[in-house]
Amino acid sequence: MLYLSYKSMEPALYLADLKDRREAKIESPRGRVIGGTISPNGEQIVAAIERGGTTNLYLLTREGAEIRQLTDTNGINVSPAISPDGQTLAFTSDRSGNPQIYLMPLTGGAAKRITFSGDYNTTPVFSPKGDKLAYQSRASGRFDIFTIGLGGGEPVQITDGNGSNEYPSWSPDGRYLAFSSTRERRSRIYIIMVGNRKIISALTEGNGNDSCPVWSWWLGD
Amino acid sequence: MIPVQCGRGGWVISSSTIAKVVAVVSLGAMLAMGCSSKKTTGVNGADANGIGTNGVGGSDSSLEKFKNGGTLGGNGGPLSDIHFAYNEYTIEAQDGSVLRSNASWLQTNGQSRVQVEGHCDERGSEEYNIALGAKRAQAAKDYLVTLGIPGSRISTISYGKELPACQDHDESCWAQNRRDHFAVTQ
Repeated sequence: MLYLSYKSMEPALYLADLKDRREAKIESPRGRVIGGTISPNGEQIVAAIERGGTTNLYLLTREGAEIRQLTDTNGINVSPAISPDGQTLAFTSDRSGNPQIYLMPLTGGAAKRITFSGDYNTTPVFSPKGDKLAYQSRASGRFDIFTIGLGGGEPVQITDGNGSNEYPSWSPDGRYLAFSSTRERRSRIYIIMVGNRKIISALTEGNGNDSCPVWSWWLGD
Repeated sequence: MIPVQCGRGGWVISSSTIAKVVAVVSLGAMLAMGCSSKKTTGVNGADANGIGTNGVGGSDSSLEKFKNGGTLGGNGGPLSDIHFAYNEYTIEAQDGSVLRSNASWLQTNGQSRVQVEGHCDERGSEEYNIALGAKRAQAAKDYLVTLGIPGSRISTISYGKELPACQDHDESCWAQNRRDHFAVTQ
């Protein structure tokens, strides 16, 4: 499990082995590692590294050694997601003046912008088949969940404009999205069916706010 | 508020579960479990006892204040906060005088060091907001350097949306949270 924490008094990324309960801090001479994602085969990390206010994405080994720099702008490049086949990177960048979603080969090369509607699109996640992305888009001060094909085109609005809806996560079969929503004021985790856009259920309850759901790859015994 | 990067794998996790899994020292978990304060006013004593430019920002530090149960925001220390428009990191014209005043204090107190903290409102992803807070902190550092304060006396850190000064979910609160705080560290 890869997670971000301030326990060293500054933002840092940690890779925890849930079996033996060991963890390692992912560090880079490039600057502060403020986020990242692990590749589907578990061997590589795409890390967002900040230095002097500029945040770029780098491909690292699981141990943190740099393989290559992936983005090189003077702005913000964050929220990396790797396609299920390990070939394509989706990420959020403000290179156009506001946060939009881009695709590029994990081997490096030119980035292609795929979102053009709205002025704040972020948190891309690949569908299990790798044929589309879910992401969150801001309108009127709140977010909704959308999907879009990897070739771009018209995005499909999944959530209905009720509360702020963020952090989409695909079910393993691609039929559902888990996400957090403030539709009942406190942030809760919900499940929605992608095909008919119907909320199946609210998963969490109680005090406090719940966000950032991640669907298990395994459905259990 | 959650100290875990969204991604693939794992379970559907609530904040309470994360608190168990990730360890209670994680900032977001602490916020999720224990922070319920509402609007804030200025706090804290002035002089700091920080541990240096690369360390925590002394008693002016928002993280130290949070750990000690204090309220955040306001101008309780010797230096004043500045604020930003939504999703922006450009220094507003009216904040030039605030930064000149802060620079004047730093020149008078020539041995002092400061950590500029960049903060954001609650909207948008954790990771984007950490990057945005870093931009905001760097913008103030660059401004102070142009006013003659050596860059070696100024460190920066971003707290993203993790340490809000105000807990309400409206623009008046968000405007308070989009800020740079200046913590004297030495």
